[in-house]
Amino acid sequence: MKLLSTLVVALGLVVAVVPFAAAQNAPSNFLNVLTITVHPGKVVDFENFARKVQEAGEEIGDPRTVQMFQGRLGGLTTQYLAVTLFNDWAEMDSWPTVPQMLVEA
Amino acid sequence: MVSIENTVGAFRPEFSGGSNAPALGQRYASVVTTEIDPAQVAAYELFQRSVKAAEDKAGVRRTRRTTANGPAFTYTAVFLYDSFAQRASVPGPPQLLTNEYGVERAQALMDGANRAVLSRTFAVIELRPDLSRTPN
Repeated sequence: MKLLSTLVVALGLVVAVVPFAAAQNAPSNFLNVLTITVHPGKVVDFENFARKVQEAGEEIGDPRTVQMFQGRLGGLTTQYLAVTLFNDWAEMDSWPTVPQMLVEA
Repeated sequence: MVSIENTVGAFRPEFSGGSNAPALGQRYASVVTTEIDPAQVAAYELFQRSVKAAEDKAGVRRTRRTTANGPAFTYTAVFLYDSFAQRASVPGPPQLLTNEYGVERAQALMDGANRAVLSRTFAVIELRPDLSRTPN
């Protein structure tokens, strides 16, 4: 439980500093990648938390797309990459943080 | 949690055959990350442009970026596909360069690029739709 709390707080803090970017199907100028390496024994906890974050985004109507990838070959399989796109740095100014999303939801 | 790292990549259309946007629903992405010698940027980018030209003629779509925030002088190439069979059917840069420029010119381009490379990693990542979010 302590590890899970640490995981949640740590992810929340980091994502608060560098939140998810906007993503569209059209070409985008920039691609934001949040690479999260999870302790092998805490994969289920992390994935449950990641689902809650995405659900919160849907509930508050966050317009951004987040594509989550998981390492498959040639690297850590406990590594996750949250990939989002944006066109202009100014977009970052209006992005809610993960803690804000969770509180609002 | 072991670590969290954030990077921002800038799309480089002059090196890319596709758009910067990951195609929603593509299952896999092959990601080649290359760190180059800052003194060899010109040679490496000549290689990148040559590969892009060969890919365009062959109809191969790889997108390429350089780091905007994160490790400097790092180039990333991404190829998206739905199956490993599909991946295996697409030629890589050495074959494409040879097809387009002939053996000697292709080898010269690859030699120039290899001299520029400090390190390179190849990885395959898999989309997790259950952990992803697309606005309605």
